[in-house]
Amino acid sequence: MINSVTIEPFEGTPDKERLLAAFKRKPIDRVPNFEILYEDHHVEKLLGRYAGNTLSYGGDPAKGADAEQGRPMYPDDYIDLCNLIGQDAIMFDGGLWTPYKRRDENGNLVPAYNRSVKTRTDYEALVLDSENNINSTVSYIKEYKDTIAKRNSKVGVSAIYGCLSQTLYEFVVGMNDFMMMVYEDRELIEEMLEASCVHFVNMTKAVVAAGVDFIFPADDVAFKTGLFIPPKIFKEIWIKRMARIFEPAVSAGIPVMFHSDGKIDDIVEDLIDMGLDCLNPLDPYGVDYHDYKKRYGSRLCLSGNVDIEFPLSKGTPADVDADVKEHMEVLKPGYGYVATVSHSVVNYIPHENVIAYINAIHKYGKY
Amino acid sequence: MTSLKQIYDAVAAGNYKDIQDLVKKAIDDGAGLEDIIHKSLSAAMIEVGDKFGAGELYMPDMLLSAKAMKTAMEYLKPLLKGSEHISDRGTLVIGTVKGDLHDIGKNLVITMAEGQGFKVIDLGIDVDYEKFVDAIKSGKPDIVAFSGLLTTTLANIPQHIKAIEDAGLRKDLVLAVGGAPVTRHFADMYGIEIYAPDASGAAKEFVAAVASKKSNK
Repeated sequence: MINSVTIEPFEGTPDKERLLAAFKRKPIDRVPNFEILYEDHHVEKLLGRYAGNTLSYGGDPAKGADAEQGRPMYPDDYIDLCNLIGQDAIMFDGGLWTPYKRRDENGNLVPAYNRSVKTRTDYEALVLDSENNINSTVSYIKEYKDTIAKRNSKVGVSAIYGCLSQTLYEFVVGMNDFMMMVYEDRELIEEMLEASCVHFVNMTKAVVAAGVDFIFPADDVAFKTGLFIPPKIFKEIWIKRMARIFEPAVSAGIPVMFHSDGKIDDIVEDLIDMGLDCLNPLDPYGVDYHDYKKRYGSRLCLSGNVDIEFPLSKGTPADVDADVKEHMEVLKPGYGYVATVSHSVVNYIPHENVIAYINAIHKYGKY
Repeated sequence: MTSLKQIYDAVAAGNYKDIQDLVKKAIDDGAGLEDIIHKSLSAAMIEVGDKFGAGELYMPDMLLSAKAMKTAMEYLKPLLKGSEHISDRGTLVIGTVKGDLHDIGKNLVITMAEGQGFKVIDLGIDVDYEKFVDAIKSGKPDIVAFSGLLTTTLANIPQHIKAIEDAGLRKDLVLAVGGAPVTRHFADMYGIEIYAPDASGAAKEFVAAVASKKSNK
């Protein structure tokens, strides 16, 4: 019988050293469970009180909302959640989207996320609100670290940020125009990417200096069939810039986790060369995790792939348990596996399946 | 002499800048409008869509080819008045279902459908039942396509269909569904006629469905 009501007792209290060791494929006591995002209904059911979602309290950064509408989850709530589910690190939104802004009719800076940039003139009217974004992220890292220290907790802290291209195609330019501009006005595309890159390089430097335990850049660059952009061009305009975003962490010995949906086979070797430690989320619609374990398991920690559609949304707790077991059988041997869903633990997943998922990781994840 | 092959190649290469000149020259050289549309424009878009689906071409390639096709059609449309050609292939109403904000896949289907001569009424994302019904009443489409990436929002599709049935609009309407988690089985469960795993396949199904509809009349 699958327990889908309560989190069962598990061995090994939350400890960032477990997660960091998994990144380096070193022996640990159990496979870490780690999610980018638990949405608010699950958090509320787990904690017994409203505490927002794990990326934000009062906002929804994953959907491109203005980060000023919310703040990261309060540290005590997040540490309580980690203790309850056995997660080794806190992950908050450090600024997923490049903070491009424009002036409204009253002269106030507002997010420029309405896909209206089609020409150089449009682009030159934007303001990059970099410093405020970075300072805010650093202050939240400090807040988390202070509370962790006060509570003698061993959980780690990281921030997710770095949507180098996604900010542009999703919010600033629009997908179709962005893609055609890659061929037709590459100079402008490169200029916009470069501005994003400089912002995110500064973000990496700042978060590393503030003491994050690992960095977590993210940028969705592929479909289930492959990269959006031809690999040769993509490598010329994106790889070198994402490498620069990684670099301050790599040279400081801070592990790097990276996220992109889709089939990213064409760039995995580049990511390894750039110093990547952990690849997420092994999109189940584009990645064969058996194949990835064989090809990259000795060089990368792998994270993700448990499909939020099936079994998590549409399956039973028994389906969830069986799927986690299958993933463990392939990905757990040799260390270097972090159990994570394929996207986020969204509200539409039945809560009993979330409980079954966490319990299954603890049950099958013991070394 | 400009050949149909040159027009085909221009579309396949996304060369929208020269396409109208090529079409004009082909017509001057005696090429038929029907041949230009079927053998050059539409055929090239099918190849582009297939190659995109196979991972041999990428988004910029496909979008520029679609732009070339559209640019050619802008030139041809005034010449086509009064005759039934590919440009009158049919009308498609499409939207991402209620509760779902994803639109990349939907937009690719639109690109491919337009490439096959469909008039497309794009309802956007997070589309409510009533909006589909209103668009069917006003647009009189041949096909209504639901797009969705989330299993839970796809679960709203029976309500979308019921709203269409309640409004007495289901008869003569072909329904289609697509999105990463969608399967043929899912489509069959709800009596949805068309399912395709990618945009190119969807456009081919649309063409076949409309042809079948016309031959049954």
